[in-house]
Amino acid sequence: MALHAAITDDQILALLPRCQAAEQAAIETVYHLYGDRLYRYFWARSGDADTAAELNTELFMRFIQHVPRFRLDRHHPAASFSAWLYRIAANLLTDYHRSQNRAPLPLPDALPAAGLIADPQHYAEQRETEAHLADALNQLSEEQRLVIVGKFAEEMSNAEIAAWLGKSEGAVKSLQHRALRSLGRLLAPSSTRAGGLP
Amino acid sequence: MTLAVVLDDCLQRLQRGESLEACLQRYPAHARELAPMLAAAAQLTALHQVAPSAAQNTRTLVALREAAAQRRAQPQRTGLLGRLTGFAPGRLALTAALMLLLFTTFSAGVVASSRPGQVAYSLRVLAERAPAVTTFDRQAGAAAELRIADRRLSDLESHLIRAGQVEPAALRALLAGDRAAAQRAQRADEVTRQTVVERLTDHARVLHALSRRAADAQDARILAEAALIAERLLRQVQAAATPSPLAPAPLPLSSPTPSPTPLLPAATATPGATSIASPTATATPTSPVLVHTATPAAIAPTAIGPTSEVQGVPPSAVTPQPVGSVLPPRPRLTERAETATALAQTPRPRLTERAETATALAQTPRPRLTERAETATALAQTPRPRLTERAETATALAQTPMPQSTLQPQPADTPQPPAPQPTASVPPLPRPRPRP
Repeated sequence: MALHAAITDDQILALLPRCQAAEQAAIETVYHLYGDRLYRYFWARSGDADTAAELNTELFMRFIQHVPRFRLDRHHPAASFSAWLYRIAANLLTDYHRSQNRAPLPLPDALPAAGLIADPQHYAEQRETEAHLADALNQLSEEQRLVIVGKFAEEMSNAEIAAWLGKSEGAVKSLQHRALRSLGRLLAPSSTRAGGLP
Repeated sequence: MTLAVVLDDCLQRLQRGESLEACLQRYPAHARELAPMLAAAAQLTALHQVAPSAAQNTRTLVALREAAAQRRAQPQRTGLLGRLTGFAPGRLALTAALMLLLFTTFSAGVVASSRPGQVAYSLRVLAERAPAVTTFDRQAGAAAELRIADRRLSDLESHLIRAGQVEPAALRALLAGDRAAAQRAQRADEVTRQTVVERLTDHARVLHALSRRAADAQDARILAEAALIAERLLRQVQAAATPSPLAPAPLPLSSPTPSPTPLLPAATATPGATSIASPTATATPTSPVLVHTATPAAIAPTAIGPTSEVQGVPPSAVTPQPVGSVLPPRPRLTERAETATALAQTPRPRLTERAETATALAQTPRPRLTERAETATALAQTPRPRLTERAETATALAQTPMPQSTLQPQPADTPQPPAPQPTASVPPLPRPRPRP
């Protein structure tokens, strides 16, 4: 499992004042740090690549608008900054679902980043895997799904997930355990072969 | 170690590149449960490959650059102070409001507890007088002004005793309060006027006393002038009063003999110069001359001329008072004096009627009193056997010689009467107690 490097407190402490001064380079750095993660979050929750991209762009527009008033938690700068961004993302999703008057869509059949997959056979296998993952994730509770998305799609640490969800790290580990136990059952080869996703 | 902790440890090891088999071998007791979960985690890495396309990234970055440029062009909502203090504008305003409240509370405490001679005392004087100034009712306003003036007089006295100096703010406030009370009293009822007259008299008297007590000649002069101002206000109130048979006589302020308080203007032609000049005692219209019985050495006549002012007291609070010199004509005072004189000479039928009634009453035979007097006379002339008996007994006792142990030595040629037998009606004489 090759996850991206964690975002450090020093990075956020250095970037935030520059972002508050609307410095373009700092804002682009924040986008490069968080853009993919938040896109995956939107993609996992909206089920549509275009919607995820629009929501992602809107999120960073709000970030520019509101970052001058944001105050860091001095004890957990990176975690509090991440939690703030994901709070904005959650609000955007709420607005989106309210406007669409529909529940979150399941994961799409087609991966949006199709250009990343040059081999069609590998692409087809990837689609099948993603479909299984989407089905399995939809079987989880909301909190379990958020932990899995935070952990594996957005590469958040346990502390970041805890700050995001307003829970302790122990509670995050417990949710992670229950979610992976369910996913281990749902994604097992036997259930896949039987097509037995409930 | 719980399975949740073991699982988290295995996930971290997988992140660091450790194999799935190595993790399972590390925890053989949990291997059976861990295997499907770690396999699911391995499948979840597919989520990581989801990313926006290059075109989507480009569109987002362009939008962000435009938004950042717009934001830089806008005025900063967070000011320099906010950036320095690290507070957002709303929180900064709240903090400023709280600090202002604290400062106001602290300042109010400092002002309220200030004493004469301190910097905040002037503010205290102003703050305390504010309610009286804003009172529209004449009676209540005059009472409030007098109450505050009393405080200032007390402050003035305490500061003079403590520091040996006149507190200008207290003196200013005292005179301002007296003047306001006098003005209100002139249009108020008789009771209010009487009250104001009494208090102004007290103020003038205390100011005179303080001027005598002041060690510094200039302070003495200032206080004496302030006393004159109080007396002038007092006369104004008295002049404005409607003549009434029940009106009290002016209170005496100074004696006719030369005294250390010779600043009181006394009319030369009035026998009753011991009192504050009443309307009849003031100067006539043609000769408004006020002559002091004496001039203290501390007060030079030239120092208190018509152009002089009390130091530390605003010009509006001080009316120049001549000392030992001819005053310029004062038409208003002259007019008031004429009015007062005319009033004094006007026949007062009610008082005359009362006097006649009293005289008639005094001359009317009063049979009940006469009867009582006759009864008393008769009682006085009635023999009183018990008293007579007691008197005789006392006389007999006085002539009875006392025992030797209790009597002082008598001269040898004095005959010693025989000791009488004690009677039941006469108590025995007390024996002298032995001294300890």
